[in-house]
Amino acid sequence: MNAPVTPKAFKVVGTRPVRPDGVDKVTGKAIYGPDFVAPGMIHGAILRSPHAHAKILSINTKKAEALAGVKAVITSADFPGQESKVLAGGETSSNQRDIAQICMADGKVLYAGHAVAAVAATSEAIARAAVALIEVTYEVLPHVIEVEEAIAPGAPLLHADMYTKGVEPASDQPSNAAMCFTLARGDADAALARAAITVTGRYKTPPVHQGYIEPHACVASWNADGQGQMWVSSQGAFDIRNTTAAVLHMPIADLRVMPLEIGGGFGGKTTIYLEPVAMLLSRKAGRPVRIAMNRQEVFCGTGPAPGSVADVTLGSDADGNFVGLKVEFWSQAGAFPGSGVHSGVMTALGAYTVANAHVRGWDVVSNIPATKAYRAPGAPQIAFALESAIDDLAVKLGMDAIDLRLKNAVRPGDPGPMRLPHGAIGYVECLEAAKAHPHWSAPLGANQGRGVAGAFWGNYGGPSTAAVSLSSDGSVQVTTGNPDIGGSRASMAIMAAETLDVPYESVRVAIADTASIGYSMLTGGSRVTFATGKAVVEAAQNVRETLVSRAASLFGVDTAEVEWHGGAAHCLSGERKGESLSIGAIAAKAGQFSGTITSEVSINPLDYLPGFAVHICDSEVDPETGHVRIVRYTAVQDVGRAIHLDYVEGQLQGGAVQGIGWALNEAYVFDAEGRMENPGFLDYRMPVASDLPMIDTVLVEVPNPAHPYGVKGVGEAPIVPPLAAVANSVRHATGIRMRELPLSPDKVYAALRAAD
Amino acid sequence: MSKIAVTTSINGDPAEFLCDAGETLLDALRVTMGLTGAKEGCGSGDCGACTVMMDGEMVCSCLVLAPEAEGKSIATIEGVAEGSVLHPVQRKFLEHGALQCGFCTPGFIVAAKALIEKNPDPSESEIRYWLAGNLCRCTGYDKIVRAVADAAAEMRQDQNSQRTAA
Amino acid sequence: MAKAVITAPFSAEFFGGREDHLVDAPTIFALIRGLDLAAPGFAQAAEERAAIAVNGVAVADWTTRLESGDEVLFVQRIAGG
Ligand code: FES
Ligand code: FES
Repeated sequence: MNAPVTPKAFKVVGTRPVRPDGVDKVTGKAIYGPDFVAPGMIHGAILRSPHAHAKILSINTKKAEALAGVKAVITSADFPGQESKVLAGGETSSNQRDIAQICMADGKVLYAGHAVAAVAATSEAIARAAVALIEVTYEVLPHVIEVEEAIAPGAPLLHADMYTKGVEPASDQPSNAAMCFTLARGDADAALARAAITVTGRYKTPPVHQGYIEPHACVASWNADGQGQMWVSSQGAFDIRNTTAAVLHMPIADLRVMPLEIGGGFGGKTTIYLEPVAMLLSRKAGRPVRIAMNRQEVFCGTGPAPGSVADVTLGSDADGNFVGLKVEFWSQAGAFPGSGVHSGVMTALGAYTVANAHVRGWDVVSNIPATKAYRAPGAPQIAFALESAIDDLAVKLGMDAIDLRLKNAVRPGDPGPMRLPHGAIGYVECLEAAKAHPHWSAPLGANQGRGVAGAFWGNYGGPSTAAVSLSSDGSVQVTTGNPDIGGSRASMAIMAAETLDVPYESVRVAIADTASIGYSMLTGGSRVTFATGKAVVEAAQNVRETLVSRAASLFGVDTAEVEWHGGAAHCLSGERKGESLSIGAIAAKAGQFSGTITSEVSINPLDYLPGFAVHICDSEVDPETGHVRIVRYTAVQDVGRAIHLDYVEGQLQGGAVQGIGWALNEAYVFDAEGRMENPGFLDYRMPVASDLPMIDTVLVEVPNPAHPYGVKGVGEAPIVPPLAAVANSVRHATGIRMRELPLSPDKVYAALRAAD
Repeated sequence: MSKIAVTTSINGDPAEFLCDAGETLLDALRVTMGLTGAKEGCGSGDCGACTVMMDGEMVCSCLVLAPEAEGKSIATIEGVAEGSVLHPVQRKFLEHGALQCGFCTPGFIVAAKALIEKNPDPSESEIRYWLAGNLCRCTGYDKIVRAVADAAAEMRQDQNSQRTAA
Repeated sequence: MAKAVITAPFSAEFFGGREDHLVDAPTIFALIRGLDLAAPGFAQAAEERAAIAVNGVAVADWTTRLESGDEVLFVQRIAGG
């Protein structure tokens, strides 16, 4: 099952058909998380901590319980006891106790917005009124927000039992540093001491939110017999089910999760917040319970991406060959550990060959919401530092910024960050495409600058299940367990149609609930078109084989004498030579065979390949106001092979714009009490249409030989380069290297004045 | 607290509902009327997911009080298609792949339709500024802007050919 | 004999920093069982946190057969969103 090196002409792969779920989504019929209604359901609301760090001395729920219409009140006392236990869920594992405590604080609140208690009542208004009647006595503790302060001696400790993992010798003092991870090769210090040219700097990025427009919502129904159901939009119904069941100590099969359409996730909907709370309220009340967050709760109660501080020193010889790299960074994990430090470390070593490197990352807890994955988690922050340093090096060398990257770029066979040799990667091809693009040589206007940045992202594969079944008329049903977050129904239909050689429109795709198909890992890690796609193709191949063998029986010949093309079996010999049987004709004869033609395939592929991207950004800096405007933007990426062109381009464009927002405007701002000051879209400013130019895309196709159509994951890599691409363009426009995001007008203005 | 009875028209049909004085039009549409096409992304007028038309004006229905709908005519995403025939803006969103998750899409389509009705030949920057009140986190807006421009072009052509035919 | 290469953080956590280990094992299962005997807890850590590659190719299936001279690499599993 290898991708052909020279692709045969595909019929459907690489086209732009309308997505199967499209009409529902442009007419307002599609049912998203907050849209679902269960008969007889009541409404939940959550009480959240006003303090960034405090001990909960007591919670009095009597008045809330007494309010007319209130059906249930819960606190952490209603949760079953949690042991510290690692759950294998997404690509990393999470600790069950931490997840439970994010859903409901136990003993201590660790951030302003931390859930403390919950109410279910006959209306949302009553539930909110009841929440206000709950009396909580807190002993406010000193809090800490920034990582530099969190690791300073004497800092307030979030978890008294947390000792830094991964340090030698093992630490006997509790610390806010949860873990440290190092990758080293050669002797970085010695190499840097010998380097002809070195650049160095400290880079900072603030926490930013994934910013999906759909707030979290969930409807849960838990019966006295122990069986429950949930209707929820998430990046993976199976992992939501498994995690909720673990936290509630339920047998997994007792919980059925119905996936609803998801209004964006970007990593933020890979975990649970409301689900066990709604379940417990439902069991207490004996009714289905709906809980929906408002935007402020989303900002204050769900995972942003971690902020970061990174020290980078990069050295080269006089010709620009990288000789040494040293990176040390601290990731602002929020209230609980686990903030993508590993992938940050890998990012530093993913895109370039450098014989001597020492890269170390620290996972540091502090009193902000527990952070969560955000599209290539951990990578944009480190790429911001590294790709800015490379830009500085190019300036010092007087070298073209793309040429410098080309000189050092990883090629197939070079060792990857984790020592595995790189397979059929396409970073060099991306850099060459960027260099050849008219954008790279276009003239610039006054106050404008051009920046470029590259990116590596590991991608993922992992467990996926898919089923392909034929209806009696030969139309095709594809079923997967992966929520469609950006057009994946269309990609699955394309791959099935291509494999069966039938029209795209004869294939329909459904996303099954957790009781209706085998497990699939969540939609994330840029894995669905690769891994689930592979399962769909394998199932479609099985169906095609069955079709051929049944046709052979119907023709009365050997299967070798039957050829499949054009959605039909063609007889190559014997009496019926030249005759054909369509997919529908064969499907209709299921009664003469062992039944309907169906194949369900469960696989766990790990032969994915990383993604590489190069972005070019032109910006214009207003010397009077410090405002930075993006005037032209081009995103180049090795996509392996694009299955649906629009949705691949859309990933590149959407990722680039999220990165532009991160570079220019987005940031969590905390007041002196550690409360978020900007928990709304007015003050947390994400890019709008008028902020942006068109986002040009170039799809470089270096197929992954391990996927039948050559797919590489595309969703995450495009958020990795923009932070540095934007900062490098501002450096080019102003001559000023800005190392702290966001490059908001006040900061740029201050830098311009300081340079005057 | 007693409820307020509101008589209005929704997508051309007479409609009546009861609401609290402080209830938003968005909640009345979504919860009371079951029209969940308009979405709540922020509840504060900053995302445009709840965009509907009220007496021909584009509004954030999360900022309109439900009682204000009295005597007005409301148009929502559910009324944009004529029966099952999609409006050109809807069709162009599909043809251009101008949605990923689709959560922002109803708001964008209502807003884009209003733009084209006001300005049949909008420039790229007119489209971008008109839609600046609608947040999309998935697409980076590129394909949305193209879809709207293309829909406007098609509608102009239809009008021209109708005129020539007449 | 297959060669197990245990990288950080597992090397430090379980083997005092030593990376290379020769183990006589016909499958990844057997190899991990052998390593777990030498360093109790390693098998659990591998299950929860490691990615495994045989001769440079990532594998998920611990029943994968090992030939003499195969190099089995254990690295930290990495997150995605
Ligand atoms: S919900 Fe009305 S503008 Fe966001
Ligand atoms: S398509 Fe997801 S927010 Fe616009």
